[in-house]
Amino acid sequence: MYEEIVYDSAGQLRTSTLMDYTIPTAVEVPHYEIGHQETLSPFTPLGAKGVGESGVGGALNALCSAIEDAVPDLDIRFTRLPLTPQRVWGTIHAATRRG
Amino acid sequence: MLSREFDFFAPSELGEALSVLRDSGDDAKVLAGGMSLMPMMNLGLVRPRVVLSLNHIDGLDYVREDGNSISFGALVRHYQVASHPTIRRFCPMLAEAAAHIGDVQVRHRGTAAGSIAHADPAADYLPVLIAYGATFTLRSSTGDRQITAEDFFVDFMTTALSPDELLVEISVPKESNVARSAYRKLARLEGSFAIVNAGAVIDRSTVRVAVGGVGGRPILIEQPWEIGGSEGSVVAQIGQLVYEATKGVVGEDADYKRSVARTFSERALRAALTKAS
Amino acid sequence: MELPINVTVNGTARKLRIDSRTTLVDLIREHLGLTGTHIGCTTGNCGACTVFLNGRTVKSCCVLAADVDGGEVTTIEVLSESGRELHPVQQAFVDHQGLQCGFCTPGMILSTLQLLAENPNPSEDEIRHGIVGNLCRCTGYQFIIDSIRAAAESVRGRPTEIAVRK
Repeated sequence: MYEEIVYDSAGQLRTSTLMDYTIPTAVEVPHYEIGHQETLSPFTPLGAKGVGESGVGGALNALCSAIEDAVPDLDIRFTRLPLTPQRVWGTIHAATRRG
Repeated sequence: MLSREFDFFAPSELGEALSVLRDSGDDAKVLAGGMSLMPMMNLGLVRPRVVLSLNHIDGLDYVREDGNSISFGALVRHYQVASHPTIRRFCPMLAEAAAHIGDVQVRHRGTAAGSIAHADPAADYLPVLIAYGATFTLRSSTGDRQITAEDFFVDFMTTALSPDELLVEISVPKESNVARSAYRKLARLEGSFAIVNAGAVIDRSTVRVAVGGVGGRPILIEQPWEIGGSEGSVVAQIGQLVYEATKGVVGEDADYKRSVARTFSERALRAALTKAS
Repeated sequence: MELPINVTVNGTARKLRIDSRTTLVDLIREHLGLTGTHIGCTTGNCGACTVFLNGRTVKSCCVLAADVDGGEVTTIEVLSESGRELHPVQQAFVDHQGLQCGFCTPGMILSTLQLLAENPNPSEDEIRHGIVGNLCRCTGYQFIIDSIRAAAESVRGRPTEIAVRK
């Protein structure tokens, strides 16, 4: 929802400091609780497997789906991240005009 | 370490500071909170030859009642504006806006006067000061002058301050005991500069709503208001006037900006209306 | 421009000669060797450089060292000289996994002390607002909030060791 690396048409990086590259603060990140669902790998001695990056995709999709679900009368589909306020507003308003 | 060498002055008297400013002209940058200046100096975007600190001058951090106004000095920090009992009582919208600036550390250091002199059009104070009809005292080594907030903010980060002047006092009319006000802000992160913001004051017979983030300076909408008049229709009316006043907004997000400018002016006004007077 | 400054750091009066271009965080890290204070951005966003200046937390990357002449600076090192016996707030962060890489942690802890000095029993929302000026990339903040809640319980009723001006 917040982070995007932006280049202008001359190839200049516009988001090169934390002033422009917006990382969420403790106020934006919601309260969360962690649960564990373990399925051991049959291929490794301890059943361990890499967990670092694979969980992220699900969260991103859940976010998009949540917004799409929040406006069930509109046929919208988010295909681009981040979900900035401008992008969400623009997508919803374009959909409204399609009726 | 910053890149370009500069002379640093931290006088203990305002008169001395004004002399430095007069003699340095465009070579000098004034430093109070530093919350706008220092990041720019760190990035090399601003490289003054002279840095003049006001932080060691006594007697600039006052807040006082002046008859029908509240006046406060150039070194009052954001956290003080947000929490000072006199400001919270008589100009609550100003305290409300100050509480939204930056974060705890920024509010401990940054000053209202500095933010005003910097005049970022999305700054939290600007629409509030315009809606309140505040006035500022500008001082140089040759004397003082007063100017209204509306006249002070000329354009994007451009004010009526001359290079040899300092903003030394901010004076805000007290709300009457039937007045109600509210500040609303849309921002990406808590404390960041607003996308749009709005300050609404309803007093005896007028509604004033100022909206920032929609141009070089905030726009002000003023409408007569009858106590007991339809609240729903005045909110819609103000929203429509804000929308019309923003038709000059350009850029690929123009439609979005105009829409949220209307929404947040209505929200500020609705919030003010629901407050007990 | 070179100039002399007098500054009290962690209770010790220091007389230093510095270049006007020195920021407070440079002074702390380079001149005084106190590297517990970190530099994450230099734009005043991340809060890793948080220190106490005259009793209140500030971002030291955005303060000129020359401007603290006559002032008092307190850094994270004041909480535990040895690093072996930890201050209760530090211990709470250890006990509740309030850190991973540790880069934001000194700033988080000083902001915690500031928060608890003004609000000894903060709600989760108040804690979040109390650390809004300190960015963390590792934890997603929840474990930090849990640590701060535990720290609040642990120090309640005991004066915090840093004199924080109200």
